[in-house]
Amino acid sequence: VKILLSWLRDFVQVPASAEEIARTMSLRGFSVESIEAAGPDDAVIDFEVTANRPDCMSVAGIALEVATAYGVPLQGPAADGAGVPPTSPQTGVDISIESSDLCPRYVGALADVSVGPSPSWMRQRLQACGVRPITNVVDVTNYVLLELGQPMHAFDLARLGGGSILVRTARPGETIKTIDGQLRALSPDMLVIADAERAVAIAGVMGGADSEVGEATQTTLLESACFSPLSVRRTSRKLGAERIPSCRCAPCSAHWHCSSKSVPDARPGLRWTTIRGEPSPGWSV
Amino acid sequence: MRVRQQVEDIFAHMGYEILEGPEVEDDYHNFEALNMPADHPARDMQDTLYLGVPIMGGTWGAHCGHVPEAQVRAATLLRTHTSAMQIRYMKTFPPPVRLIVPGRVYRRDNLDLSHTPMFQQFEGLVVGRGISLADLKGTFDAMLRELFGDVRVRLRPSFFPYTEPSAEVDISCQSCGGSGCGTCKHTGWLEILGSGMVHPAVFEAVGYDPEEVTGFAFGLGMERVAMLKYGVDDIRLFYENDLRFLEQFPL
Repeated sequence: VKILLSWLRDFVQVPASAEEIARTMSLRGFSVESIEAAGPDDAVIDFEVTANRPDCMSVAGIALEVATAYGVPLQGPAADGAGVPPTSPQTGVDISIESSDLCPRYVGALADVSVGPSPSWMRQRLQACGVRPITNVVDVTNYVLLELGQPMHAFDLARLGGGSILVRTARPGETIKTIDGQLRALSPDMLVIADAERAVAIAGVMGGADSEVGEATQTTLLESACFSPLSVRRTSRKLGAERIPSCRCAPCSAHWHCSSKSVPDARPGLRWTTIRGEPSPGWSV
Repeated sequence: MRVRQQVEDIFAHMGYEILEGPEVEDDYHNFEALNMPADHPARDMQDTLYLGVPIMGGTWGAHCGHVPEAQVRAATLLRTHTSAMQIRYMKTFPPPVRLIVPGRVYRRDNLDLSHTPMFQQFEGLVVGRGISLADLKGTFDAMLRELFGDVRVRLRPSFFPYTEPSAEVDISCQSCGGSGCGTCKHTGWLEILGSGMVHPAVFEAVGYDPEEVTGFAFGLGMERVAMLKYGVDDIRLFYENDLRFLEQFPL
C-alpha cells in the first residue's frame, strides 16, 4: 500500500523522516518496497502488507501502527464538515437489506453536488498513491478508500429507479452493464445493489453503468457498506473483475470500516439517509 | 545445483533427512492441510498453476501418508511450495521430525529479474518436544554462516498461514557490510528466507498433538541463495542454458 508521508502526518505527528519510518516499520512486519520522493519535502512509502493485516491497507491503518511504534497519539483527520453548505431538503432514500447474511450494514448519504474536477490537493494525493483523479464525486470515494480503507460507491440518485435501494442476491438470469462497459451475467449467489427494477451495482466489486455519476448528476447517493468478504471475493473471481475494493473488504478491518465516521469524513455537506442493519456484536463503531 | 548440494550437505551434517516429493500436488496437501482452506485470502500470495486433471491412482497417497479418498480433491496443481511434503511426511511418520525437501516449485509469475514461473526451493521442518524459536534462530545462524561466511542474521515479523509466529530472515549485506548500498536497497540487509513456528492447525491436520510437540518450518529459494552468493543479478540466467554461464558453477 502506498502511503503519502504528509497524509500519514494528518493522523500521527511523528517527526521521523520517511527513511526512519520505513526502517522502523519494516522491523514491525511491514516490509518496505520503495520510498519515492513526492515533491520537495514529501515522500511516498510503499509498504508490503501481509495477508493477515487487511486493516493496514489504508493511511489510517498504517497510522495506527506508526502511532504505536513511536508512542504518539493517533488523531483523526480534521473534517467536521464545517463551512460546507447544507444539502437541500429532499425526500430520503428507502434502503432495505434482503440478504443481511451477506450485508450486515448498509449506510447511504445524500449530497447535492456539481460534478467537476477535485481540488488540486486531493488530485495530488490520489496521484501520489497511484489513483487517477476522475471527478470530484468519484475522487471522494477513492480518497475515503485510501484514507480509511472503507470502499465506497457513488450513485446518481436521479438514475436509481424508484429512488430506492435494495441489497439482495441476483435474480436468475439477471445481467448488469458495469462501468467498464461490459455486460455481465449474474448468478444467484452474487450480492447486488438494486433499485426498484434492476441491479445497479455488484456489491463490493463494481458499479453499474446506468447509475454512474456523470456531469449531469445533481444529487448523489454515497454508499458505505459492509459486505461479506468471502462473497465479494468469490464474485469478483467469478467475474474476473479484480478491483481495488474487493481486496480490502475484510472482517478484521471493521474497526474503521462502516464506522459512522466514514461518511462525514467524505467532506461535502452530507445529509444522513436511512441506515439499515446493525453492526455485528464486538465491532467498534 | 551447486547451492543445492551445499545446503543438503549442511543439513545432512546436522542430521536432517532429505526427501523429495511430487511436483504435481493436490489442493489438500498444497493448501488445505497447511491452514489455507478454500477462499483463504493468503492463497492470493501464491498464484497457482492448476492442472484440472485428477492424479492417477493416488500413487503418492499410498507411499507418503494415507489421505482419505474424500480429501483428495479433483483440483490438481503444480505445487507452489515444497511445504506440501511436510504434510505427507507427518501423516506417515510420528514425531520427532528433522527434514529438508529440495525441489522445483511453480507459480504463475511473469519473468523478470527476480521471478521465474519455475524455481527451486528448500523446505525445512523440525518437530519435537520443546522446539522453540531459539532453535529456529540457532539453526539459521549456523546454516547461513556456513553458506555465506561471517554474516549477521536478523528476524523480522511476517505472516504465513501455516506458521505462527512467522518471520522473514535477513542476512547482513555482504556487498557493503551493512552500511547500505544498491544491492540491499540501502537497508544493509538482504531477505533470504521465510520461516516460523508450525501453526497448531497444521499439526491437527496431520494428527500430531499441538499440546505435545512444537516445531519450526522454513522455505529457502535456491536461486536466491545462488544469486546472493555468486553476485548473479538476473534469475533468468539460471534457465537460459548458456554454457558460458553454467560452466562457472561446476559441481
